[in-house]
Amino acid sequence: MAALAAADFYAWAKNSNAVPASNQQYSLWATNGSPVAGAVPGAAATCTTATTGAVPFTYAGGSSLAYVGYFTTQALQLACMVVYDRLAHMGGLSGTSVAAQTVSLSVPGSRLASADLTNVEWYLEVYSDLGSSGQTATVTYVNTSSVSHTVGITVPGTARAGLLTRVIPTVSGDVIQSITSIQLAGSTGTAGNFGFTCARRLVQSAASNMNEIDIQDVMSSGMGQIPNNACLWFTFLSSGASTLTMSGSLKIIQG
Amino acid sequence: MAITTVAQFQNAANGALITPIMKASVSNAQNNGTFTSLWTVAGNPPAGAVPGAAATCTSATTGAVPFTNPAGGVTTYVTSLVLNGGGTSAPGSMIAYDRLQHMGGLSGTVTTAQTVNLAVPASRNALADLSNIEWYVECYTTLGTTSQTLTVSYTNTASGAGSVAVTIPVSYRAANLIRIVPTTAGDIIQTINTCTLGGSTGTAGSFGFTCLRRISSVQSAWGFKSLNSTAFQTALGIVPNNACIAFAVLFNSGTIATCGSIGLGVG
Repeated sequence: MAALAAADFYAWAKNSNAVPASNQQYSLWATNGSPVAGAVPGAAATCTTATTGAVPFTYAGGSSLAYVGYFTTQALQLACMVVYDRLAHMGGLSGTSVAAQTVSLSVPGSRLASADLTNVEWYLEVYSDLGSSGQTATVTYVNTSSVSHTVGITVPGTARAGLLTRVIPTVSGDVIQSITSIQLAGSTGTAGNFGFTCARRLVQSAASNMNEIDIQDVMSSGMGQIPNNACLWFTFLSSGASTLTMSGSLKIIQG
Repeated sequence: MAITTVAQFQNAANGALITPIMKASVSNAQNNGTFTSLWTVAGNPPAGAVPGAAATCTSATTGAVPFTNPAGGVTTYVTSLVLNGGGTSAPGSMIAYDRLQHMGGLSGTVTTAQTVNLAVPASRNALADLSNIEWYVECYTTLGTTSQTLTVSYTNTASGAGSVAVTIPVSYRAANLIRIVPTTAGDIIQTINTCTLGGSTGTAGSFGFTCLRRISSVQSAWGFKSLNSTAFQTALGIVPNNACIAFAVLFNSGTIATCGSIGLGVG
């Protein structure tokens, strides 16, 4: 109660990229708004609160822990928001290269990843539109038993900037520990820019009506725990092919 | 002192000042998912005046929810926020906010730079990085039938100059609010200095700018159903001394009369 009373609302607002297709998840990392746009990454790097593009907050420290205490969403069309701790990311991969491209992405320490990494999600993230030819990409990863395996994922034609494609192993029992490389089966036709991101989910909210504010309070939000140095990152599931403005309030409580 | 226990919250809620919200019908805001301001709408609290030059709003400003600042060391919180359906079949949502500063009297036909000079006043719980402040274009009298781009010039929190283009829609309606979100990487607005229309909308109308800090939200209410944001759902929004508490609604179409209440407790 004290933590809820002591914190104020962060006024978040984000514009999506142009023409996101429906029923797909999009990153708001590199789009303008509040928090401000993050930079397109190069080589793999850990993201923190200090990374431009993260929600600014000061970790109380000591015996206090930080949680999502309140989260609201409003949007100009139906949309589901998902907020993550963006753990690490990399970019600069080409949509025309058919050779193996290095990824080298792994989960940083002290960010509340569970020992078995079952609370970490892995995504292919597009930073600049790729070409019109859809391709299969073979992702090479090391699983939590330190064994290297691969999984094929589909890179759709004209993959738009912001598009997120979840990477889920198809080998029974596999959980990704690190992603090593990716190889496209053929050129998409445009180099564009893409990379990979690993993240830990904190809270989600669904604006089920254009003129509705969806409220996830301290109980319904699930009180996702926010570690020190967390890089809070907004994504959304699109319901239609249009540019979207989303906004709301976020209260980070500490106690 | 502040609320630190459930018992203290219960005391604050039990002793809360409950102010009824009863606002006359307003027509739909652009029907585009943007807020409709209830600032100038008659009812309770009473209609606020259309502002002129930039001015700080307080609890003493006509249009604000009346409340008395608590004794030193005591904080006021939103302990409940209720929205009734208002007799419409359309859903709606409502926010309560502290109206920090506002200005008006700008023309929809002037194509030269018009002075705004809007800033965040002190002692109103704005965070140092202003990340809890929202900036809006607010229409007071409907503008003309020609859509225009409005270039809003601002100073950012690094004291640099910036600008952002805002689309003024066709027949921009009175009471509609358009959120201003900078498009320059890293920019957060500290002050809005001027605005310039790309061309005439065809009618002078009247518009201005408002900066605010949101203090609570209540979700959708259909028909005559009431939606209550209580306890955890209000998230105990902090109400600073002298706050100018006002309301804005989201709704789909037609007209809506707003009924509900806000509870202010101290602890």
